[in-house]
Formats: sequence, C-alpha cells, structure tokens
Amino acid sequence: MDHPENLGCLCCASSGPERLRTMAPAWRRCLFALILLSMLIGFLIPVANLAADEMRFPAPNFTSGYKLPETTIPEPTSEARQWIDVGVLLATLSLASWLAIKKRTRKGIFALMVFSLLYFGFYKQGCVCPIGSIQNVTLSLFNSNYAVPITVLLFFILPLAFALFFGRVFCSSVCALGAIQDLVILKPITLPRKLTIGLSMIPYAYLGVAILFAATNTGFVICRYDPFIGFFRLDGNAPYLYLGAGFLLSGIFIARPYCRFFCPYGVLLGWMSQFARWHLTITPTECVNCRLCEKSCPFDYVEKPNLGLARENRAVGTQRLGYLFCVLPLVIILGGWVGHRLSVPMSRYNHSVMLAENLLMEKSNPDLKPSLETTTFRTQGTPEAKLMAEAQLVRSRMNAGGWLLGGLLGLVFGVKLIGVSVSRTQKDYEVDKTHCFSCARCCPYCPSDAIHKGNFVPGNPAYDAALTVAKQEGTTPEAVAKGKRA
Amino acid sequence: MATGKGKIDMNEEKTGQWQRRGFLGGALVAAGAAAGWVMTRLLPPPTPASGNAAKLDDRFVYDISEFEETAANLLLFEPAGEFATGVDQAKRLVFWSGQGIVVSGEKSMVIFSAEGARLKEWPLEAPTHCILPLGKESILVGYSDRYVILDGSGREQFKSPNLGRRTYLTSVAAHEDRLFFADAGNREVLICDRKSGDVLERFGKKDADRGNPGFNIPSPYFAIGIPPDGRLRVANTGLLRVETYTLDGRFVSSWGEPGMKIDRFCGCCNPAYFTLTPAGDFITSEKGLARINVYGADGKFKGAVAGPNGLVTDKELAKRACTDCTVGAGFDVTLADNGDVLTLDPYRKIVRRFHPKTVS
Amino acid sequence: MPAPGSKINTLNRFEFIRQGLGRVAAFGLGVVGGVTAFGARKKNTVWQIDPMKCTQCGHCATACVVTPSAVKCVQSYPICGYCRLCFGYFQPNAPELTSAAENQLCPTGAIERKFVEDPYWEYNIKEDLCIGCSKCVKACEMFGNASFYLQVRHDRCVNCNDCSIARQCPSDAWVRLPASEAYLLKHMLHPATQLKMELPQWTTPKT
Repeated sequence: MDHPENLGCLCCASSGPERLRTMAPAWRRCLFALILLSMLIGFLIPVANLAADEMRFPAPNFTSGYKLPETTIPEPTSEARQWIDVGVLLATLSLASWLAIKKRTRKGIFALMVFSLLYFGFYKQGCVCPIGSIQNVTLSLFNSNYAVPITVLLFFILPLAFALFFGRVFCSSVCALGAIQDLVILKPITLPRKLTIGLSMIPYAYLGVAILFAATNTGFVICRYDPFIGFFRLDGNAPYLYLGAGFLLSGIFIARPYCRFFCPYGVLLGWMSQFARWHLTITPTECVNCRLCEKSCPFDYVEKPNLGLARENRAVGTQRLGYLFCVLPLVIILGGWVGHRLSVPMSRYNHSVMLAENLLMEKSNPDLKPSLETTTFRTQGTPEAKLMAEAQLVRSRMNAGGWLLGGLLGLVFGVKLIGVSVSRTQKDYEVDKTHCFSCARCCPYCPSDAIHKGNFVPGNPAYDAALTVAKQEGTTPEAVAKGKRA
Repeated sequence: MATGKGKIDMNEEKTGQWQRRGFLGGALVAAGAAAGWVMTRLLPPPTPASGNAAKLDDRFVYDISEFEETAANLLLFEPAGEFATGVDQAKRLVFWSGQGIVVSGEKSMVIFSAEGARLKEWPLEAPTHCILPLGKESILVGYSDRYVILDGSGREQFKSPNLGRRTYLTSVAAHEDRLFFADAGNREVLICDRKSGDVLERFGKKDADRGNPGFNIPSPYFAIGIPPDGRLRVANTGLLRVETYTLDGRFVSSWGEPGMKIDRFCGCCNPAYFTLTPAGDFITSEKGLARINVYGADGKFKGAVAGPNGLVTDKELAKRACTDCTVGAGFDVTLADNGDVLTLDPYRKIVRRFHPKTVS
Repeated sequence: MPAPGSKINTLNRFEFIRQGLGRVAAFGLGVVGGVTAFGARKKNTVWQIDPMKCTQCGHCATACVVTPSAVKCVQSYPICGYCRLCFGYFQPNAPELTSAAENQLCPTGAIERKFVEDPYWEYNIKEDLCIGCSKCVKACEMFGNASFYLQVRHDRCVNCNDCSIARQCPSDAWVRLPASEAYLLKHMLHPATQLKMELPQWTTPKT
C-alpha cells in the first residue's frame, strides 16, 4: 500500500492509491495500514466471493458467430511528448537567458514570449506548469503514496535553476501566465510603494497555503484558482473565467498583477534570482545616471541610486532597527497565532475534515437532510473511527502548519520592514534582482548600447526618450545620454 | 514602513515620525491579528449541503422511487416477525416440513425452528446452490455441479456424479423418479435419474421442433418448479417470464411481461426465485427492484407479499453489500406449512416471516 | 545587521552574505530536487475512476473543466448480458422496447442499440453525445450486469493537475494511474481475480 509500484495492483483491497489521506509517521502509517487492510479484507472477502459467483457468467451463447467488440481505450499523452515539453522548456529557458543577458533585446524576448504563450498556454493548455508543480513536489515530500513524475520535477527545477544563474528568465518569456498578462500592459501606472510592499506579502501567504494544502492532501489551490487556464482551454467554469478577465483588465494598468502580487512560484524564483550570477542589467557598460531608464519599467523594479542624497542620521537608523528587532518576535508570534486561528477554517477544505464535521453535525441534528457525501460515506461502510482519526490528523497538521506558516509570514513581514528601513548605498540604476522579470524593457532605454553601435539617432527609443528630456531641460539628447543633466 | 522616498529623504527631523510609524506598525499587526480572530468567527460553518458541484437537472437523474412504494391494497401479507440467522453469505432458504427452516450458507446448513431457535448445523463441503426437501427425512443439497442427499440427521445418503462441464446449478425440482436441475452455466434444464444421479436428458437450447425459445440466462438466477399439474415451470429470466414445459422438455406456454410496474418483471434476470403453493400459485421474488409477489397458476397477478421499501429496510447496507458485485443476491423465498411466506435477507442475515392478511 | 555608513565594509559584508546565501539557495534547490527525484516515478500519471468505488453521483458530468465532460460511459462487452430489455437503455416505464426516443433512458441519446441475434442486442456508447451523467450506469448496476461504467477518456481529458471532479467526488473513486495503464477496465480488474482466468471463456463462447 505504501509503494508507488503498487499503483498497478487494482484489486479493491489496495486501490485508492493516491487519495489515501494517511500521513502519519512511517511506523504509525504502517500499523494503520495493516489495521485498515485487515478490516478491508475482512469486509471484502465475502463480497468478492459473492461477486465471483455473479461475474463468472459467460457471455451469451451467440450462434451467429458474433465477436465481442473491444472497449476502446484512447491513450493519454505519451511519455515521449512529455519529454518533448521538457525539451521545449529547456530550450526556451536557454534562449530567454541568451536574449536577456547577451542580446538584451526586448523584441527577441517578446517573440519568444508569444511563442511560449502559444505553446505552453494554448497548445499545451497549461498542465503541469512550474507554478503548479510546487504542489506536486510538496505532496511527494509529505506523502509517500505519491511520487512526482520526473518530467514534472524537471518542470519545477529547471526555471529555478535558471533563475539561480540568469535571473527570472522564466518569467520574462517562458511562463504562459506571465505572457498573457504581459501582452495587455498598455497603460502601466506606478503603485504607491506602501501598497506594493503590502501586496507583495500575498505571494508568501499563497505559497504557504499552497504548501500546507498540498502537504495535508487537501487540494492543489494554485491550480484550482489559476485565473488564466480557462482562457488557454477556451473553456472552463464561469467564476474562474471572470477571475481571469478581472486580472487581464486590471493588468492593462497594473502591469502583471498576478505575477507581482500573487504568483507563489515567483517567491521561489525571487529567492534564486537575487543570487543570480549573470542577471540582466540595464546598462551593458557603466551607468552614467542619465535616468532615461527610470520610467521604462512598468513594474517599478528599476532601483534608483541614492549616492549623494541626504541620508538619515545613523543613530536614528540604529534606534529604529533596534525597535524593529524587538518587534520582530512579537510579529512572528502574532502571525503564528493568526495562522493557528485560521487552521480550523482552512482544514474544512480537506475532504476528510469536512466529511467528519458533516457526519457529526448530522448526528447531533437529526433534522438535517443527509448530504450526498455523508450518504455515500455510510454506504461505503468505511469505519467512522477511521475517518475521524484521519480528520483529527489533518486538523493537527493544519494547526502545526498554521503556526509555522503564520510565524514565517510574520518573519517575512518583519524582514521586509527591516529591509526597507535600512538604506544601502547604491551608485547606479539597477534592476531589483529579486523581482525583475528580465523582460528587457529597460534595455533599449539605455543609450550606451545605441551610442556604442552608432544608432543613437531619431527612432531609437533611448534617443527619443533623451530628446524629450532634452527639450524640457534645454539641452541636447547626447548630453542627456551622457548623464549631464540639470 | 518606510517608503522609497523615505529611504532617500529621511533625515534627523523625521525621528518623531518614525516613532509614530513604529506605533502604527504595531497597531497594524494587532489589527491583523484581530482580523484573523474575527475571520475564524465569521467564516460560515460547514453546511451539510452537497459540495459546490452544480446539480444535474432531473432528466439526468435515475429515479425509480415511484416503483419502490407498494400500494397498501395490493399487499396480501403483513410482516409477522423475523429472526437473525447469523449465517454469513446465506444464499438459500427452504422450509423443510417436519424439520424446520433451512438456511444454507457458504460451508454449512443451519436448521431453525419456526421461532428462530437454532436446531441443527451441518457442515457442507461447498457453497449451496439449491436445496430441496425430498420428504421429512431426506433433503437434497445441490452444489455448483453435483448434489448430495442428506438424511434427517445430516448424514450423506447419496452423492451424485459430476453433472457435466460448466454446470452451475441454481434450482431443483423433483417429480416421481426424476430430478430437474436448472443449470445456469449451460442454460439448460438437466433431467436426472433420482437413483443414479445420471443426466438422462437436457433441454433449453433454441429448438424449433419442440418450440423451445431457448433459455436466456444473463446472470445465475434460474429457478425451476413443478406445481401439482405435473408440468415444469422455468423462469426464463433473461426474457423476464415464466415458461411452462412438459416433463420431457417441450415448450407449452409462458407468462410474464417485462416492465417496472408491479405486475411485471423488471431488471435483469427475474423472477430470480419462485416457490409454488399447494394450489399452484407462484410466489415470485425479484432482485434489483426487490419485491415478492403472488401470481396465480395462470400467471395472473394476485397481489404482493412485500414491496421494495418493505423488503430493503436498510438501503445503505444493501448497497454496501453489493458495492462491487453486479447484482444484488436477491431474497430467496419459501412457503411455510401454515401458509406464511418466509424470505431470506442476505444483507441483514435474517429470515423474515410474512403472514397472510386476514380478510376483513 | 548592516548599518549605513561604513560603505566599503558594508558592501563586502553584503557581498559575502549574498554569496553565502546564493550557495545555500543552490544547495536547497539541489536537496529538494534530489529528495523528490529519489522518490520520483519515471511514468507520468493520469486520472482515472475506480468503477468499483463509483457511486454515480453525477458530479462527473458537471464538475469537469472540459465541456462536455471527459468522463464517459463505457461498455464492458464481456460483462454485458446483451439483454433485449436493457435497463441502461430503456426508460423505467418505456411504452415499448423500440429505439423510439420516448423509450430511451439516455437524455442525450448516446446509447446505440444494435440487433445481434435473437434475443441478443448490442449496446454501444456514442461518446460524442455522452456527457457522463451516469444515469445508464446507475440503471445497469441496479438491474443489469453493471457492464456500463464511467471512465476518463484520455483523448478528451486535459489531465488537470488538480482534477476538479476528483475534488468533488464523494466516493473517493478517483485515482492517479501511471499513464501506461490509464484505464481501470472493469472486466480486467474485478476483485475476483478468477475473472482473469475465466477471460478466455468469455472471448470464445461455447456454441
């Protein structure tokens, strides 16, 4: 029962391979499995024998030479096709890295992005994507009944590995969800910093909940609330299509809202990307602080230099930091407590917990009309104690997970506060390596490329930007490009 | 929370502001905590209503509830008690005049008194497929492909030879020196010599000369009986009718219509069981839509002993008992010498008694 | 906790921490990858319904993200009784046993009835019309040999990572199977393993 190989063994006594909700430590699980198995066997054998009698009956005695037709079994996507997808992923990631870091071409990135949208989005129709694969990996780590297919694992690992070396090139032009949002960025606005910091907590929470739900076998929330999958399939349930439409509409003004404020995979990518060895840079050479790239990023991930600006008194900063460090444990504990409080409602998303609660409710209130779920449960005759034990287990895991998740979120929040309150010296215009999607929008705005190649002429984006500034300031575009500004 | 501007512009004068911000931050956290607590209170409690799945409209729902209720005026019998048998996989039930009520299971045969007291238990070598009392001191027990005759103390008097390949006996009737077995495996009636157990003749294949339509037996329910008129009655269950044959296997007539209405046979392979009254009336037991009805010797519907809702008292249990088998085992039926109808509930492992209603 | 001010030191310390953390991240990625790869199955998985657990609740018709559902009724010919009065095909109170629409149970007319020889009829599922409501499955299980049952058809299933039917299944009947064994065919998996041995008998009926 514990071996994935047993998947093939399909007699009743060992079926239900992966929706088994037993997640106790190994020895407890074994014992549990043994008891369960013996109960199952005890119950099933008579039925099986009875059934054997029923089923042993030969087909009608056809005299006309009639041959029994075969039940057709259309094959699922073949293994080879899955590997082709891994290959395409690898190729697009490599190409994206090359385009972002070597070629620094927005056009190239854009073309690749359109290809990815068509291939991974509309052709492959979304599953399994690296974002959702977080849950498969989590489930396989927490539930020995589930083993993640190697291709899915590669879908999870490859973008992260690329992020560790080249930044979030996956976001730039491989992710179909990012691509569909990127296409609708028409009038990007700058959000208040406070708001973006607040909103950027959501992905952490989302990631935490996704992991918690996957680990307790409660469900795959990321996939369930994927806003764009309905578009890719040109089919789907209405609420999710509305959700997707909402994201796309708001995405006209708030660039890539899902990527920035929801995507749980983005958190992992960010962790990797900030250490990226080779990351997309705004300027290929040396930044002259011409400020032309300042407005080029629709996501506000261009960080401005602070060299030479008035800075706060050191003592004040230290004092504030001291305060923050004092508050940090409090924030962590509070977060943990909130997580703990939420664990009960969260656990209701788990099938076993919900079923157990409904059963208890129906017991205490005989007037309630039995639900389909409880009726089915009683018909199947699984011992109620088993369900209750399972529900308890999920509850306790959710509780532990709630403390942990809440605490971690508190920590992240605290660290974010500390991060923004500590100002570091920055000389140049740089991308925010953690968050930058490597979309290369800023690259054409850096005049050094154009000057170097000798095409700092009208029509070039950097030239045009410089010209606008030059007109305002009464100087020449060339001067602007050299950073000689008022 | 410092803003980007704050990062750059901040200077000494803003210290006070920062203290205020620290306070605000703390307040925010507290507010978040409070919100969390409120959320746990406000989130709706789970409702027992079925999930969030859209409901199929009625066209897509299989509903036969109208056939599960039996009109009171059709019920000729009323429940008159029950007793637990304790026999696992009880399949057959027969009233053995002078001995008691016989329930046979997987490996044994148990005889109960009319009140349900366990009188005797005899071990058997195989699952019982059919039983037929041959007198007060003799009973025939049919296994899958052979039979034995036991005496009143359970001793084996006679052991038949194997009755043939793929034989799967389901029912037996006796007439003079002949035994008639319903063989669902070959879809034939075997005529055996009572003394030797040899198969003398078999019939049941489609046979234009004798007018035989052929037995269509999709599942192992194939009942047989001989009423006082001395003609064989065979339940051709696939065709949902009871057929009359001469003792040498010539088709005479048939009765029974397919349908769900109470006076018809419905489902696969019905009537699954029947027993005959001394007057030649049929007491039929149907599986699927479980019901026990009374038909006259001519096949005219007379009334019901019990309907689906009266028989299947624990639907969940019945459903569970055959979650993975294809068809319910059905309720075997027999007639006691006082005119009561006895039926075997294999799910609840009980025998139920139905007493004729007194005509008012 | 780096303090602003001593620029060069801060930078170095930051760089040091940064590199260290970078290695930690790489290592972490390796660990997660390694641990999961260790347990990884080579085969991909697909969703399927265990017909022995299915209770025909009807969710398969409504919950699927594909319209109409990728779950269809299939016919297991070796189990089918080829009945003239097929309860999966005819309305409970069908006026007569003909293929006229008013006699048919299937709301979408997805079952085809073909005469084989007296008294046998073959029943086939027209998958383009079947929406997987399991009405016929329920009827066949109740009154027949239960040769109709639901299966995920993999030419239609998009294999969602989080199958929305599986999520709502009250019977716990949904399983992930290796893609190479993508179906749970009833006549192949019956708990009575004897059935497998009996199979030749089915396929070459005695005449």
